[in-house]
Amino acid sequence: MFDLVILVTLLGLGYFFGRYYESRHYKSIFRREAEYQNILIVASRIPPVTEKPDASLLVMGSVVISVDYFKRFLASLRSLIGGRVVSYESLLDRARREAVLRMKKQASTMGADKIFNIKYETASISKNARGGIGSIEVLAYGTAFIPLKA
Amino acid sequence: MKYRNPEIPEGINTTKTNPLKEFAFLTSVVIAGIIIITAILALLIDSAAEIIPFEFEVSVSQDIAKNLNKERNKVDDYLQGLADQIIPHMNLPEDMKIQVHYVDKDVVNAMATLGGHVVVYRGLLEKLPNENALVMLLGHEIAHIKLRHPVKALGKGVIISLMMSAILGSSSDSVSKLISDTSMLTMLSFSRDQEQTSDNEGIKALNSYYGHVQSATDLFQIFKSEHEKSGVNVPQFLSSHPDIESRIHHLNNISRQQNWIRQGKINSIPEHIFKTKKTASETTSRFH
Repeated sequence: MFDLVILVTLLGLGYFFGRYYESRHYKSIFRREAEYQNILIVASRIPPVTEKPDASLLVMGSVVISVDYFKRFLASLRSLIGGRVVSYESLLDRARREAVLRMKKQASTMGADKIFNIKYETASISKNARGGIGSIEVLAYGTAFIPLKA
Repeated sequence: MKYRNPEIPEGINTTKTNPLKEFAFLTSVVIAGIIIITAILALLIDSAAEIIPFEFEVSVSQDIAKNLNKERNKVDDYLQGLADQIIPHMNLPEDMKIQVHYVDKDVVNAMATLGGHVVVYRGLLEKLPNENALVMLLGHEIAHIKLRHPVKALGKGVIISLMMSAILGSSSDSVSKLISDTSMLTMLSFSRDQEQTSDNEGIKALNSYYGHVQSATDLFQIFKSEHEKSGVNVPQFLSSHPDIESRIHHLNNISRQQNWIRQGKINSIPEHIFKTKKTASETTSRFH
């Protein structure tokens, strides 16, 4: 009985804090995405010949986000019956967008206006160790072009 | 070429379902699944146990028998004698031998285990008001053996723990807990069913032995007062035995339906047994 109380408390904490952080994070993502709208990101590896930048440099953004108890509980139940792990989708979406935003911020402070050859790397920290912290790292990197000064 | 970064609409890479809805769906599906799997396995084991010959139980339980038979005294002989008189009323299979043992411990309980061994503890024997209640108790325990409950419980225990280790390896701790608890609670309902059928057999034996069912529920009054003394109130679904009140009620119902005589002579447990019990307890207290 006592175990059940602990479980429900942890799930409740996970749910409310997880929801709170997620909605706060999304608000911040929307605001900053609008803010960095002027920095173009392009996935193509080879920039067009018309691009003649003053300098190009590697920019990257990385973020580590932890899964909450509630999300992990849902994912663990999912692993029994299969199907889309909806609870992790928003987590990864946030991580990817945050990583791109941090990369854009770095490019913006360097005075760049375009980033080419964008790549993502995703790593799960602690892998599948039982009882380990289920957190993910997303790294976004690319080549930023600093335009010639007019 | 012109490069643009247009605003991408939301909700493509994420799904906007309420997580609580997902939670409700997943927990109910998993819990229902575990209940069904456990119940199917339990039913399979129960029917498979019928095929296991009784000699297997006897050979498995030789160590138990050796331990219990170390020193037999007058109380063992009295209990065995009484059991031998009840057994003809219970339609036991021919190869099934019942051995009753008396254990000098304060535990207010009795049990039936593998190989036809019934154990009655001093704690309970001392509290029994009359022989009728003792016959009901022995009838109940012998019924467990007749219905192969100990070997069924063993089989279920093994299968369920195998199932658990197969499923649980890949789940997080909290989910493992959910699964094993669900499975355990399902098993408890099987255990309660066994107690109920043993009660039925017990009262049948009591009626057939004495010709009436006087004092059939005395045994449960003892458990009830023990229960009240302990002050712990466990809800029925968390318990291996049915609720005491409902057991008493059920037994009264049966005797009413069967039109059994409900009042009759109360036989007392012979004096010399109490004497032996007393000296036995005195010796133990001296040793403590």
